[in-house]
Amino acid sequence: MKHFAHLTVAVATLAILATGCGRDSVKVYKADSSDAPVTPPPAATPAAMPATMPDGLPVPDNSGQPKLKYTLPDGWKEKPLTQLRVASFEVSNNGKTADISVVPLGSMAGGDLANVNRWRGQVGQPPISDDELAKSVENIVITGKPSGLYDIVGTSPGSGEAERIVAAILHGDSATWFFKMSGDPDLVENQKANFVAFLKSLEFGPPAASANPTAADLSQLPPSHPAIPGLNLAAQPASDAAAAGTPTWTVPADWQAGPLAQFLVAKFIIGSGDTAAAVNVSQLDGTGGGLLPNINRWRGQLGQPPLTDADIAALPTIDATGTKATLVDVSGTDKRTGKAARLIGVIVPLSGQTWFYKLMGDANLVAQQQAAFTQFVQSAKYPDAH
Amino acid sequence: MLIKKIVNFFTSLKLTVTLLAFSIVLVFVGTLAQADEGLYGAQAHYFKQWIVVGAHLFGHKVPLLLPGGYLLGVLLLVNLISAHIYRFEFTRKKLGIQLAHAGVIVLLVGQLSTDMLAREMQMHFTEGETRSYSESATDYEMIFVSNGEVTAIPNKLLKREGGEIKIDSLPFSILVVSNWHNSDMNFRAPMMQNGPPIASNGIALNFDFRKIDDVKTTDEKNVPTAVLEFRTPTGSLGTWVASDWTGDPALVEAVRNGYAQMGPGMAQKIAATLVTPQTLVVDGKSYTFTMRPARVRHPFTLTLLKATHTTYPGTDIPKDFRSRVRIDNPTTGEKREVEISMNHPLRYGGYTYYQYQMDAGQAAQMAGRAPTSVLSVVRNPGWLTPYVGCAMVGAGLLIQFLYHLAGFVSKRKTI
Repeated sequence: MKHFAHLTVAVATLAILATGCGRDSVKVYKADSSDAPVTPPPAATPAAMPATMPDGLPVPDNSGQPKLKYTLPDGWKEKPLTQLRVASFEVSNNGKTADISVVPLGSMAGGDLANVNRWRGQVGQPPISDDELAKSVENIVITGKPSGLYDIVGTSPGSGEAERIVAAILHGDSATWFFKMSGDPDLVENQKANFVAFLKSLEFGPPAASANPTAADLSQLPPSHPAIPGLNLAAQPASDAAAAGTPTWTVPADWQAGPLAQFLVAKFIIGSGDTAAAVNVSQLDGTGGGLLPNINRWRGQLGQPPLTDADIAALPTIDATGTKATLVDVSGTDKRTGKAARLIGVIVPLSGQTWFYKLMGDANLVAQQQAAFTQFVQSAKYPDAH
Repeated sequence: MLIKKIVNFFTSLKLTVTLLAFSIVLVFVGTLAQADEGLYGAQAHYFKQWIVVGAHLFGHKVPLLLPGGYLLGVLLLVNLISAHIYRFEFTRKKLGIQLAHAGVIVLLVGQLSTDMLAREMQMHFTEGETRSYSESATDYEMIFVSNGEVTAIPNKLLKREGGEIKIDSLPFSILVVSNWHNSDMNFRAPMMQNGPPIASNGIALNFDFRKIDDVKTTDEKNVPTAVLEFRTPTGSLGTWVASDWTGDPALVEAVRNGYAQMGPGMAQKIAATLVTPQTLVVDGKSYTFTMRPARVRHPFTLTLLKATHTTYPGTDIPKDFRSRVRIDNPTTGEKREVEISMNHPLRYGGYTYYQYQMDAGQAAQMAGRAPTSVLSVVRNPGWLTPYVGCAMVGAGLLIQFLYHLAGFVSKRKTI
């Protein structure tokens, strides 16, 4: 009997525990203000970029960001890139490592003092004043420009370990560049000469635009890096088309000029209401990111799966202004309207720039207008066509 | 005969020794595996587990079959209790041994109760903010808000891919297409999208989500994302993405900062697009849903009045983190201010609030951030069991020792 009493207590305890406290059950309760959806915090600075990307915008090339060339010091290993970094290295010795990063920032960069004080904060040092900054800076020439080198030693408030930061700030033409080495103080001391040599070896290649970027250039964004379209667009001058004047076309009589969204060179509306179509014309420097992403973006707009390079190579071409232009014809469902639609696109590569023509809308109307559209594309006279 | 065999098996000392030996191996392997699998991963794989199949050691997969922590604990408990029951004699000679064994049982049961019942959460707030809930750092929930009513579904219930669940308060069922423990997010810029979106509606049209490896360290965070299809009796409402990327203000802020390179306006626009509410409309009623860290609601509120981060003079070495909070309990009418600091937690309403993290003081001020405090919120009904268990074991061993000592001393006297 006594045994049973023990057993009952034990089983009861286990049973209570096994039922837990119902933490994995569905709950229903009255909502309060804390259940409202998350809202992003207000922007700290006024908008410097267009608030919306117009539809029909082809891939802008990232020509604003010059390519970086350097000599990699011995023992430095390239690391996968993380957000903001365009180059990332690691050097280690005796189990200690130092991290080297290269980050270009546009108008968001802030001043030298703010950044140096930010670094000082990372190694637990109090902020300094402008005068002290002027005293602590070591002068160095990077890519032919006088720049500042800073050396900060302290203790990381996070890990409690000693840490040293050697960092340089270069004010480039379109961006401020931050070069930073941080890590174990002895290792950083040991590598400082290498870091300085690395900085002195830096060269900016020509901006990608004049080097005729390919789609591969864009794909060089680090894998973990969000796709950053329109990078530095704000800093770029108006497109060459705007500067050089727009081309002239023979426009069919039933086409109405439409409102120009940003980045569009011309827009025409055909028909109205449910049976309407629109022609968008835009232009980009270089190859505009290449055929593949642009054609697949168009296909995506009608819910069609992407093509491969081989598919693209097999696409038909038409003659336009003495060059072979790629013809794209996609039918599907317009994602914005949910209606059946057809898209005919022509991509005209000219020397140093690419023109994108897109006719999209009601399938029947597009079929009717196909010939007129092709003639329109072929009628173009480009002001600076070579 | 069979019963006797079973009883003999469960009360045998051999079983105890075998289980203890397995425990040693398990603790050893589980500890080594933390380097590869992370703290939480190793806990789940080795200790909160009945059977351990395979181990990750030194970067290699090792074929291994071990009893898991749960199995060892339960068998040890059964073994101890059975032995206790069948060999129990209330004699002075055995008193110490009995007490020590009972202490071990209390320890085992206490540990099991902690594992089952204890919750560890966090409360984040900036100065001036009021919170009526705590959030889990590791568990998530899907919430549907309709007409002022919240239906919260633990993400664990949505884990089985291909599974369909039906909740009474919702007029649709949820089919889990995929549910990733950790995910990455990319803005589908109009000119960069290179594949079809992963779901047909909502934020998936503007953002790509993909599964990534779980993070292993405790200072990084897994961000779950699920692709779900909602179905009503009359048809499907399409596929949608529910992600903690949209439900956690800190992540939304991180996304905005991550896109700062594109200009503040664009970054803000992307962040705003990310948190665009996703709404299902069924029978004229709308259901706005999101995924967020699992919450526990309290019947009272805490308001952070002041977060103080003091350092030793002339250095940046933290001297003290201190949060002054006000408790408002509408049910009891209680309204008072308390200070929570590093070794002075607040015990209130069955929870203990420890000062955990702080972003205040000079560094935050310089960066223009409002002072923020994070409290670790712990509820552990079994918190006393380790103390009681250890005291019982200690007292039992002491009694046993003194009994033998007394016997030994008296024997010596008689010689």
